[in-house]
Amino acid sequence: MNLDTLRFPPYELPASLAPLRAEVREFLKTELGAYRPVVRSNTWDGTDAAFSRSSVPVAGWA
Amino acid sequence: MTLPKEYGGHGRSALERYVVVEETLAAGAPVGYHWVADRQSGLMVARLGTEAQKKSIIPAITSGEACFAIGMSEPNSGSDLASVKSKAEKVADGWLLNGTKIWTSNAHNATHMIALFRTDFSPDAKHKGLSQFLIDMKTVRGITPRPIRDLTGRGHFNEVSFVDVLLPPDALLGREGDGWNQVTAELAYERSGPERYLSCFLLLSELIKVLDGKASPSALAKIGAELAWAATLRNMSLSVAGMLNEGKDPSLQASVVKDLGCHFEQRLPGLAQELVAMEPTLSDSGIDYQQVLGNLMLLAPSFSLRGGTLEILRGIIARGLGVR
Repeated sequence: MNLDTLRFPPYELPASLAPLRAEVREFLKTELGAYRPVVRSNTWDGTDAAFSRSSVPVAGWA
Repeated sequence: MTLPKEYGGHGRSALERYVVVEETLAAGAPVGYHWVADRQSGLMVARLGTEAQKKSIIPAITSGEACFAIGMSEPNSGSDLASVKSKAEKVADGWLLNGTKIWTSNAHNATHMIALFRTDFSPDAKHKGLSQFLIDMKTVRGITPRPIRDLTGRGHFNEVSFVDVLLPPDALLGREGDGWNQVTAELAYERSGPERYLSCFLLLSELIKVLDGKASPSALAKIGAELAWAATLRNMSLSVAGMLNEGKDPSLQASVVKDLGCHFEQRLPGLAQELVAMEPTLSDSGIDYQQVLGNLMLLAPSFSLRGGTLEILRGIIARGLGVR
């Protein structure tokens, strides 16, 4: 067995991405207001073409 | 969001996408319609597609109109892609497809599919005889998706039959016979992202809300242990993102993240039931926590199927460690 192949080099997201995170959070707060928690619990299993059509073209937030 | 600007994409980096995906999944945004296109299919078209394929497909993805499915697993061979038997035969007008795919997420909603077919039928071809095709699900005839009802009663997965499906010659994606290498590269995107530890995050958050500061020390210890798992999985997933960003092949590490992430996500509903004496339900009579728990209890068992079964992942891990 060669455990040397199983390495996870530490990697941190650049601090410069923090404003993007804040911007997305704000966007989602508005966009998801009408979705109940049980619907939101489907996340990437949840298919809502209207949400995709309205959110994807906005700054590429897919 | 990472697709090239010249085709209507936003040219954002994979790390920017990582941040957006973390936020959308943690908030529970319903991203399923564009998920596969954004995560991998768009990248495949941008990397391997012809100029015509890029010009016709990428704008549909970046406008949120395209919904992609991935045709890989088959009945009787599961996720063992070297055993793919569905055939694509070269004919005068293009390619003639016959066969069946299974466990195909969202195929019944999909406008497009990238599917793996055998194009070399010699007995020793195996990995070398596979090719990928870019299929317009809405215009070609002979494709029938049949949703497979899961425990929730919904049909997320599909069995998809292809009967004498005629594709134009330019439906080939990438190089003929290079499907195995193309798919292997594609799966690294699929197996290691934030979706591998955030699919049940809303339950964890609702659980903490319902405990409302009244959790016993042992309950707090259990929640703390799961949060430590989430933080560790995030670090491992970020490591894979870093490797992808540097052009390295993280197939082994991605398989480990998917395997461990699946175990983490599948045990959260059980933990929630252990800590709070409230019945799960899908009915409106329950509070939000009960409904989220009811939904995820029924949904979580399917997590071991999507992105490759655990058995296949462990085979990859064993090979990566040199024990197989």
